[in-house]
Amino acid sequence: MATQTNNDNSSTSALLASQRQTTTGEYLQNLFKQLRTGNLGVIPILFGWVIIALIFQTQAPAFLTAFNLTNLIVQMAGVAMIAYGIVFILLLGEIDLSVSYVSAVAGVLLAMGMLPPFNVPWFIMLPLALVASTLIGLLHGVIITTFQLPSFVVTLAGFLAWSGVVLILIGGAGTVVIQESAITSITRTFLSDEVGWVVGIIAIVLYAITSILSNRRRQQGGLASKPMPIIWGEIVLVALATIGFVIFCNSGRGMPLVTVYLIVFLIGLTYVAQNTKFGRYVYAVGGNKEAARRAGIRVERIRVYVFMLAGFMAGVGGVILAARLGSVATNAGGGDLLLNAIAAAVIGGTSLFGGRGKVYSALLGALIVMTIDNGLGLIPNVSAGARSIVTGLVLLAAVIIDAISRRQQQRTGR
Amino acid sequence: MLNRVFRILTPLIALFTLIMGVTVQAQGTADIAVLLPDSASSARWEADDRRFLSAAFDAAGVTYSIVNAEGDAQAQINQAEQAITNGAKVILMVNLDSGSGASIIQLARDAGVKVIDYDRLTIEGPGADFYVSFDNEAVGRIQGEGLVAAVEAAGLTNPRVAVLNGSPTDNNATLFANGYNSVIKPLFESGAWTLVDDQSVPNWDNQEALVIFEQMLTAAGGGIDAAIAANDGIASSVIAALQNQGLPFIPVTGQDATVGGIQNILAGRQSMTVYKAIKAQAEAAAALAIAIVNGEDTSAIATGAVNNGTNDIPSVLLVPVGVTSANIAETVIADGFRTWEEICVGEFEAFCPANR
Repeated sequence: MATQTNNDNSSTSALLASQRQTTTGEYLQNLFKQLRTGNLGVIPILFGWVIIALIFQTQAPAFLTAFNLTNLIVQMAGVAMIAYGIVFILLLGEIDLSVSYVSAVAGVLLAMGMLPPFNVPWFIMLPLALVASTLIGLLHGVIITTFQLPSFVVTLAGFLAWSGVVLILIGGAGTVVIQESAITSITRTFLSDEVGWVVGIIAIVLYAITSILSNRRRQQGGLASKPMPIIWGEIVLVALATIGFVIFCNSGRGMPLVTVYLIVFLIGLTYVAQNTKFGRYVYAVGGNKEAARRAGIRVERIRVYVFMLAGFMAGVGGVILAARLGSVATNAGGGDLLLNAIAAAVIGGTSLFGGRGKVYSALLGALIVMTIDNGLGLIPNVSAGARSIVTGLVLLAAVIIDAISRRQQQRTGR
Repeated sequence: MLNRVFRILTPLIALFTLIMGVTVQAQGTADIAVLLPDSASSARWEADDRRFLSAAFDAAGVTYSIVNAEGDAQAQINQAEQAITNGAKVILMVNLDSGSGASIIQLARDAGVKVIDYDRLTIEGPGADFYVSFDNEAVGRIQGEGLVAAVEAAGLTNPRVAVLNGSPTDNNATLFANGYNSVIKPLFESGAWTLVDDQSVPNWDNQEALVIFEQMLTAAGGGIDAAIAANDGIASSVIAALQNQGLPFIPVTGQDATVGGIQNILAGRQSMTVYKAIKAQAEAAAALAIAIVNGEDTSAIATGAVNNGTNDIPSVLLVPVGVTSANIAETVIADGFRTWEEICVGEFEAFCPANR
């Protein structure tokens, strides 16, 4: 937002300024000013990850190996998928405490539907499980909006009820093994070097095209746009990072297949959030519900859609978690899953109070959360207590950085 | 902020209290009150114990109520008070922690009501009147011996062994660990076996266990030859980690004789599991409770004794059974705890006996 650093309250001059093309020099100056005033974007998270990684590397030499880091991607995939949905919930200023057990319901339905007496083929059962989790989201959304209840209470009820459903579905069996290799291969497949390169190149080209097109559209619409050299600079940076990532993955077992799914959902959901009417409405409702209503947005409908989206993403996460474990058990969806998914979105920079956040924050947050688990797991004989303390401290550090950066932004009038 | 939290929570608490009140009210007078702990830590309480206990009480024609505290110790104390008010003569309790368990025992003792600790021993205070449980250290010993046998059968010399314990907050997990450590620690100390890593799995969470074991494998460069897994869920995490990394299966232990566990044993992915006949445990507890209600002699039933730290508690200690591929038919199948129909599905059909 090039014009907003200008603290001039006159609306006409702001409007005029926004219609003027920014030069590269001005853009870089503005960027520097934003960084100085605390609008740090992804920098604190990436910097934080580098520090965490270096600490682990000194303790466990196996940490910074291609084998371990590609494994880390598979380990974080389930949580990241659930957190993608949580981002939209948080953008509304709502909360969904049921996602962990909704994800478990999807995983259990998938596992049990493929077994006797149902014997449904995986390619039918997989969509059915996702439809079920989406319908659960619909149910929560409808209850919340119809009775005007706090989402906290309704999804807390869901948290209890769906954990019961998981227990009843599995019943006395205890654990149910997933035999279908089409499902377990979701998380067990590593792409060959060639396919890895193709995926990388497609990602770069897609990024380049969307970023140029969306910038051109902003320009034509008279919105603040970036100068072309900056766009090309960003594309080169993304390309270099992607190429480095592919080379790194290929030096080990190759790129995990789930990387593709993570990126597809990242791009798709980012597009939904940034470039569709629905996405803008979500930000608007989260920013100020009453203002959004008066602007003619059908607030309740948007809220229901968002809970459906969260249910769907929980289902996707649940399928990935079940596939990775190769089985489901009565404690599916328990443990730290809910906490990790919400923490991922928040650590990634999505505000708990609505209206502020990006889809990618779920991915970065999940990376941080699971890196802690991954790294501590490499160090022999770390107690479960120490594990929890470290995770708690990192979460605290992340929100403190977020709060400081927000205060800086308020102080500088943004 | 806090105000808002209260505003949200108050109606919720009111609603829960109402529901709880209705549930307790519906029980009426009952000679025997069963206090179950939760339905999350294990499926057994609601799926097995409730039905086996009901069946035994119905057969003896005694009045009873069975309630579940859903993990809330305060709720369990309320349920105990309610049971005493309703004229219970015996409380059969699975405590949520030893502190709240001791409070309930005190309440009951003041009212002249006998308390049976079911499955979990209350180690605070003077202790309950009776204790009915599996010998949990024996569970661990069977696991340790099972791993030794599996390592020998696999022809491994100086195996590198990983240990995955149960939840660090579960006293039973500590007892299991005491059991298998008594078998495998001497092997580590003599140098016959090498310990790779020893970790507890918070809340027995399988996903967490999967990450923990994957990281053990990564740190060891794949060099783990055998593993203690405290239950079948954790064993399934070990198996998944090996499959995810394309490694061969290794000797690994389990517990609970779940369908997945038995299937993995048949397929050669898991060495053994420990079968605790919940039916036998429930029937022993029911027989004891009925004897107390009828004023009969209990010394023939409670033949053992376990010290809770203060007193020796007369106990019924049931012996768990180790299950390997060799004795599935004679144990879990013969008991009706598992059926071949639920085990022999899909790819596992190939590993099942032809004439069953």
